[in-house]
Amino acid sequence: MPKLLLEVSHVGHVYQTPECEKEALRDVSFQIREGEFVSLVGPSGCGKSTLLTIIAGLERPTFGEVRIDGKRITAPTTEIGYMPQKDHLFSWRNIHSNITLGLEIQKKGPKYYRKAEEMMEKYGLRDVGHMMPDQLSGGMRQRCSLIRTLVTDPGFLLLDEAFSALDYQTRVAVSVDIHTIIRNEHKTVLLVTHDISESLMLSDRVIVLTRGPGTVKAIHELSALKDIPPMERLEHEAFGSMIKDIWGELDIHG
Amino acid sequence: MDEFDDAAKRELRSKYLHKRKQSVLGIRLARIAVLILFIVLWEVLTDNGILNPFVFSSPSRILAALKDLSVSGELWKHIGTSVLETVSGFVSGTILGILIAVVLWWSPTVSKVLDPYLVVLNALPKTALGPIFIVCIGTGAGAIIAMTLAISLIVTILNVLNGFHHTDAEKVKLMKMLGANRLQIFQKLVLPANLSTIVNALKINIGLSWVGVITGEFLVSKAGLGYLIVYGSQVFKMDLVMTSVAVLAVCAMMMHAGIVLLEKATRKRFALS
Repeated sequence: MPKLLLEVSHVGHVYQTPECEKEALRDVSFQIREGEFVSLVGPSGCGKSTLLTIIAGLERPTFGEVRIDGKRITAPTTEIGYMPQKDHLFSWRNIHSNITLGLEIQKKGPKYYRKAEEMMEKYGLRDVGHMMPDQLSGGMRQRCSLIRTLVTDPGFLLLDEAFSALDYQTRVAVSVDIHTIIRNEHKTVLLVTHDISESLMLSDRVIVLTRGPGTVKAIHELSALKDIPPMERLEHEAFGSMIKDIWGELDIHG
Repeated sequence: MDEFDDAAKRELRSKYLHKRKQSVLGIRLARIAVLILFIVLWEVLTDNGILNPFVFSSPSRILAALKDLSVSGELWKHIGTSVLETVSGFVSGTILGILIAVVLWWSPTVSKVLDPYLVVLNALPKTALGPIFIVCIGTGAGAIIAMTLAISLIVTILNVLNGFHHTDAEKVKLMKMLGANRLQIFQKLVLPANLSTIVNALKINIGLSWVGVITGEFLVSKAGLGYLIVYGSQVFKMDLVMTSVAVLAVCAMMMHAGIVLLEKATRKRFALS
C-alpha cells in the first residue's frame, strides 16, 4: 500500500473578530496516500478555503494538526506545490521566467532549470517561452501555472479551484490536460472545488464537507471509475447517480 | 486567393495606420493652434488697449524682457537656481518617500503606529512650516529644499505605500507557497507590480516640487524664478512677472516630459500595461 502523505487530524478553526467569533471548521479528519488524486467539495461557506489555507501552512488551525510526510505543518513548505484559481503569471516576466520563478526563489541548481526546459518541451511550452503572458490563451496560461508549480518538484499538490476562472469548455479541456500532466508526473493531489462533476471526472476519491462549520460528511471511493480517463467517466452509468448522491449530501437549497 | 486576401489585409492595415497618423497629427496641430490663437489674441487685446498691458503685459513685451534678461545673464542664473532646487527637492523627496514607504510596508506595526501622523501631516498646509524652516535652516537654498521636501514627501509615502499594500494578495500567497521570504516578495513581486504607481508618484512629485520651490522662493530667496515673480510684483514690473511665469511653465513642461520618457522606457522594459 502506498505510504501516507497527508494527514489532517481533528482540524478545527475559529475566526476571532472584535464583534464575535466564527467557527469555520469542526473536527475535520482525512488522509491522502502517495499518488492519490483527491477532491474536496462542499457548499459555499463550508470552510474549504480555510482548510486549504491551513494545509498550505499559511494559517495555524485552532485545534488539531496537519502532517505532510509525517512532519507537522506550521508554515508554508516547499514540499507542497500550490496552484491558485487564477494563473497569476507575472505580466513583467516572460513565460520561461514565470515558470522558473520558484527555482529562483528556492535558489535551485542547474539540474532543476534543465528539468524546467524538459517539461516546457514535453508539454508544448518551449516555443512560447520568450512570450509574455498576455500573448497566451487562458488554457495555455493555466498550463504554465501548473508547470511553474511542478518544476520545484513538490511531493504534494494543492489545487485551489484551479479551473473555475475559465469558461466551461476551456475548463473541461484544461482540467483533463492538467490531470494528464499530473498523472504523468506521479503527483499526489488535493483539488478543492465546488464543481461535483469536475471532482468525479478527475479524482480517485471525493471528500464532501458539510455546510459551515465544515466537517467531513462523506468520503466517496470512486472504485467504479478507477482507471477510466476523465472524458470517458462522463459517459459511465454510475456518473449521474454519483452526482446526485453528492448533491444530496451538500444539502443546498435553492 | 490567399495572396489577394493578404494584399487586401495589407491595404486595410495601411489605411488604418494612415487614418490614425492623421488623427494624431490633427490633435497636435489643434494644440499648437490653440497656443497661437491665445498669444495672438493676447497681443491684439493689449495692443488695442482692451487689456491693460501694464497689468497683463503682452507677448511682445515678454519677448523683450526675455531678451534683456538673457543678454545680461540674469535669466540663466534664476533658471539654474530654481531648477537646481526643484531637482534636489524632487530627487530627495522621491527617494526618501519610497524608502519610508518600503520600511512601512516591511513593518505593518510601524505602519499602523505612524498612520494617524501621516494623515495629519498630509492634511496640514505645508506652507505653514515655511517660517520654521527659515528659523531652523536659515535663509539659503536649504530652507527652500526643505519646503519642497515637506510638500512632496508625505504624498509620495502615502501613494507608494498604498500601491504596495494593494499588491494582489493571491500573488503574495503564491510567492509564500513558492517559499519566498519577505525580501523576495518585495523584489520579485511588490516592486515590479508597483512600478506604475512609482512612476505616477514621480509625475505628481515634479509638480509638487515646483510648488515647493516657488513657495519657498516667495518666502526667502535672492535668486530663482519665484524670487523674480515676487520682485516683479513688488516693483510693479508685470512684464518680469509674466516672463518668469512663462519660463517657469517651459521648465516644468520639460521636466514633466522627462518623466513621461522615463515612464515609456519603464513600461517597455517591464511590459507594463
